[in-house]
Amino acid sequence: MRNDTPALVKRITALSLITILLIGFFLAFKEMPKGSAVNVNQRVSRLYVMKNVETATKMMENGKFFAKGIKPLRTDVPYTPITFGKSKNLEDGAANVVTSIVVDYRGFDTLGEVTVLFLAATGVAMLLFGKEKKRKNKTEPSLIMYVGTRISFAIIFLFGIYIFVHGHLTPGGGFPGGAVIASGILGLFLGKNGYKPNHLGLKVFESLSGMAFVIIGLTGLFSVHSFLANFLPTGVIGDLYSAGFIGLIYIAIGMKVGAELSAVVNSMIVDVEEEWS
Amino acid sequence: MLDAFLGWLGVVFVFTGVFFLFLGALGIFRLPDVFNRLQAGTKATTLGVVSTSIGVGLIAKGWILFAVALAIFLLMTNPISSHAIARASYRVGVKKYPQTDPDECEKREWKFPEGGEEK
Repeated sequence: MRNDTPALVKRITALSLITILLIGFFLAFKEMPKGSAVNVNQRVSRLYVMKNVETATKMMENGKFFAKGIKPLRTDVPYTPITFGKSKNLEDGAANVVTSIVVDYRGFDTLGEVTVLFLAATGVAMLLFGKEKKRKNKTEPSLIMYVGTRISFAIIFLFGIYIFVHGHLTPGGGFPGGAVIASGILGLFLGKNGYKPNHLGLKVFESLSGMAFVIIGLTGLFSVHSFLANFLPTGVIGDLYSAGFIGLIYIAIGMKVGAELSAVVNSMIVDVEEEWS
Repeated sequence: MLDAFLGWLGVVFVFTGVFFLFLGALGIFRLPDVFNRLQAGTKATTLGVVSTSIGVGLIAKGWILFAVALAIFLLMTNPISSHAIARASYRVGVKKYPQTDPDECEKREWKFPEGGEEK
């Protein structure tokens, strides 16, 4: 469409485009399979397809859970469905599959990821921290920002802690929780000129939480004879105190990531030993 | 009876929110400059999202606590961030729409430091 195209042509084209989009949307919506017609047996985690697990269990016992003409994958093992709030002592008590893979089965990989983040933060600090940055035009943030960031920081911090404490129950975990905490600290930086966090405290906190991760892994090594193996009871699925050591590791990761990203924000923003003008 | 009433009230809330979200999107599309767009985006989306989340909390029982928490958080942060963006863009010198008549910030007694002045 050029600029000299008459307006009527433009409008007709836009109208036809919208019509095509609407028709396509409704066709796609109509083509979606209904819940009873989905071939659940082809999915990887067929237990998590239906949110209401008790109903799913009843349907499976009645033989209605699978579409007609489909046999279950395994018939040699007696099938015991998992129910939230009831099933105990599973192999891994996490309520979602991703968490149990990321932290439990591939916990060593996660340790490597945390190390990568640590290296990145160290590199940023080496490049930026302590450099003299001349900044003019620095105005004091308004009172609204000052008060608002101070109030919302508490809520953001609490939300970050909620995310990484419930890492084994809900989507989320240590990395998003830490990022949320660091964004709250970024708000504090924006709210007041010359805000300085305790840099040494951040470093110590980060090192301690990193050490906690390794110590949990070593405890697994000494008690179950494998590094980062689960040495705690898995409990009832869906409870807060369940899934063994996943909660502990996520708490360590969350604190570490939060401290690291806060240090990155600190070294990016703060001008050290410079007078504010 | 009460459940059905609360459910339909929630539906009304959700549709009010959807309407205001639509108005916000339309305002961002139609209004001339940064400040007007910010106003449209912030006001309409604040009311829209708050109303939508409260409506969802009324429809689905047990979610009302989360919905109220979300609403309070949005009411706290959305105007502040919009205020910060507007202030920073005024300070840097974003051109405003020429028909903006009452510009209270022009009559201010204090000045922004040199270099960051508009014009």
